[in-house]
Amino acid sequence: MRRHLRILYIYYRASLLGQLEYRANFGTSFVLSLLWPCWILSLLSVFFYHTSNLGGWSFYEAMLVLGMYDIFIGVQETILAPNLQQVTEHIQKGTLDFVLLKPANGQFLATITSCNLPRLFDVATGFGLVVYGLYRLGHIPSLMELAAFAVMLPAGMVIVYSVWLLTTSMAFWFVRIDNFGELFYALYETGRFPVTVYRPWLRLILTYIVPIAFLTTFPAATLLGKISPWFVVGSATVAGVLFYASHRFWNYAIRFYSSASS
Amino acid sequence: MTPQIVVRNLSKFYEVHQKEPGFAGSLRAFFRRKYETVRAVEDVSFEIREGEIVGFLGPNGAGKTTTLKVLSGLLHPTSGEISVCGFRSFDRHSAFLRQITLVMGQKNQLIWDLPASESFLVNRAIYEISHGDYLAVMKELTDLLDLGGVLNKQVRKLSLGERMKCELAAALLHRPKILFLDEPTIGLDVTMQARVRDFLLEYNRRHGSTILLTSHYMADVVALCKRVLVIDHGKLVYDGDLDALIERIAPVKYIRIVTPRPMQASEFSQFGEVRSIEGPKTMLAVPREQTSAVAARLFQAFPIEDVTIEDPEVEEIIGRIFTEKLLSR
Amino acid sequence: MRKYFAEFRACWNLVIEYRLQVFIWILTIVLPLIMLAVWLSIAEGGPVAGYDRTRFIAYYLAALIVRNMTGMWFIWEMDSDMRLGNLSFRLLKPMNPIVHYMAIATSSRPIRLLILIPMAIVAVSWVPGLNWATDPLSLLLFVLSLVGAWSILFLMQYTIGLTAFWITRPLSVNDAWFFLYSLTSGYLMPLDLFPPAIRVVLDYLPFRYTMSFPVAILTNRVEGLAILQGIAMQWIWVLAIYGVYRLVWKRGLRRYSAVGA
Repeated sequence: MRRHLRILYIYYRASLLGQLEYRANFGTSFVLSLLWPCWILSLLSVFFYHTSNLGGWSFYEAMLVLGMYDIFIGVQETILAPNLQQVTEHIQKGTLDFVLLKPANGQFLATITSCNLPRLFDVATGFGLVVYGLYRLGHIPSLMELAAFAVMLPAGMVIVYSVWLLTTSMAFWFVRIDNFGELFYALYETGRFPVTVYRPWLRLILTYIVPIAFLTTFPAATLLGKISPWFVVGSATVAGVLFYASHRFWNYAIRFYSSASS
Repeated sequence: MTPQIVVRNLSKFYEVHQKEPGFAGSLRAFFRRKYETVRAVEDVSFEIREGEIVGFLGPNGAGKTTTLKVLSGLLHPTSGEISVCGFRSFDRHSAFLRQITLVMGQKNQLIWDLPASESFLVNRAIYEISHGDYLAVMKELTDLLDLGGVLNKQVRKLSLGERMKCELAAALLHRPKILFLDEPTIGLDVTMQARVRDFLLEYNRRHGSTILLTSHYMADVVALCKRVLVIDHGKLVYDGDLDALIERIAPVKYIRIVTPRPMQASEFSQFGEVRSIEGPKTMLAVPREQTSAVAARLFQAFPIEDVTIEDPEVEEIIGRIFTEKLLSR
Repeated sequence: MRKYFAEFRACWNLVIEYRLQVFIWILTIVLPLIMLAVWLSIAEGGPVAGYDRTRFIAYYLAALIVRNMTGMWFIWEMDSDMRLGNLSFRLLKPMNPIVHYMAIATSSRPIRLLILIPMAIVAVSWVPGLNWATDPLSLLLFVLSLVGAWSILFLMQYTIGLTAFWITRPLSVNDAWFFLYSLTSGYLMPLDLFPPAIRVVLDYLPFRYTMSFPVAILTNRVEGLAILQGIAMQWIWVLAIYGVYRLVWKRGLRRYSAVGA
């Protein structure tokens, strides 16, 4: 375990050094992570210009959902997306061998060692939105609520990771899979808004089939006091199940790995 | 006849920022950068006539690739004059671009996910090759490069050697007068390298195209180029005949003999410089003109079981140019 | 012209080869549908500034069509070409690289039509009161407006891609551009629904001609002379952006040093 942590540290350090080289990139990432909240808040404002609640959520309550969305997208973009891209490139060029031959867990190496640190700004802005929303609502989450949130946040991370792992594993079959992930991005977008906004049939899909609701709506609801043990237990269960399933699938997929010639 | 390529006092400098190692260095560099000028090519002049095959030699980073890129119009010189087929390459006129081609080892211009034939069709349209010409060229290149069966497979499914052949074909569809080849045989196996060399020789013989070549493999240079330009740290240190260069740098031949008993160095003091002795095997370095005389004397002096006479490895010669600065002005 | 067709043919073959991926790309354009879902829930309590549920559906389905036909994503290829040094190869050929990217930006449209046309037919037949302009003249004008929108967006993205001569990730600039485009073109929400003060500003930006205007033609919200005026404005913007492009291209070429080639 220590060894893996140390390896992770080295990769992330190298990644950060590499990215500091691209000052403009760093700078623009920072600026962009300020822009996106403005973007979504503008949208939200236009909605609330015409209505006073969105699926039962007020403006600042909805802001929490937006914040959660940013947090998860930030994590995804920082840690997960670069790896998916890397893995697909490796598979296309047949260089995944190098990764798999190194004396560390293949899944580990392939899936979380590349990182796009400037996107961490998004995570920060996400938390900013959540805190600001709570502030404007005058609501300080109780200890219970925070504890529940503390379970749901990492559970959400695990869910996101597992879904990405599943997507990445598909890269072994569909060699040019880079845009399969886009499909998930598209579905994720629904998570910007409280799940109660959508039609019942869509709500069901977003809760049980592609568990976006567990990522954004339910944690936000928890912090707002609309807590329920179902959320917490559900999160943990879904996370556990998905992690196990994706891990098995990845191993299965590696067996089918075939490199491009030469 | 005026030379096809004329280069006078060409210089190309880059600004590159200094990176200090370590984390603190990175952070510092993030906020303030120090720039340093890299003199990739400095005051280089030469002329090349049509139909010549010329090799550019030099250690990594010497400026060979930069020179090729300036000649092909990709880079703008910092100073100096260039004339290729009467054009200033960096103006990149259509008429100029039609006469040249650039092939870079390990870099593909072919569309990765389609068969090579598709890339050929695109090039054909871009270079406005007529139907008749296209068929003739395809036939010739298919024969010379042995492309049968390879053209309809996706490029990414081809082996490195097959890909290189297709790259060469794609680059030559428009029958350019000048070929710029940057490490064309890198990564290829020995047989493939030989095939590419044979192809280039034959192509030059048939069409009289000028070939400018950079390569790490001395075998390429020796097989193809009569003339070499040696570039070291951006400066042109030698421009002339390859054989003459070898003679000048290493005017020796090696005589290896095998004797029934182990020898001592002192026994050879009359014959030549002893380069190595391993038991019964001895290697002597002998001035070229004296090789046969010395060999005859060796036979008279010692019982010899086996003898070989060889040139020094060309790599060694060229390597010595740089390590020992044998040619510095 | 022949060069364009040759490039188009190659890109077309790639599209066929990767039809699954192209299909997925089409499916990922869901933002308008999500917006629609939210608006529909808001409109349950009554029309919003003149937009009732049907009008929202009409708007967003039209937006979906316009987005599919005018969306530009070739900047990813430009970025990768520049990074990997493939631009050198393009510059060595007697053809302006822009032709290659034009081929990319047109080659996926026919396949998109394969999905969009049935969808449009279903929409027109099954959604009561959709009120799309389905007469031949309007459709022709709609197509013309799509050409104008395509040209504006193509030149914009191409010029942004050219900034790769100066900065290493033009994709970030493209993100910022998308921010502006999605908000001000009518892609995310009908421009009518913005507060009036903001609407005034939006009228002066080119973006409304890339989405709001074509959608208005298809959804029968603009007629006759106004359509022609709109198309004329599109081409004025095309010329303006073309001028910027030429400037950037000239400067960029001068600066180009074949990194990593």
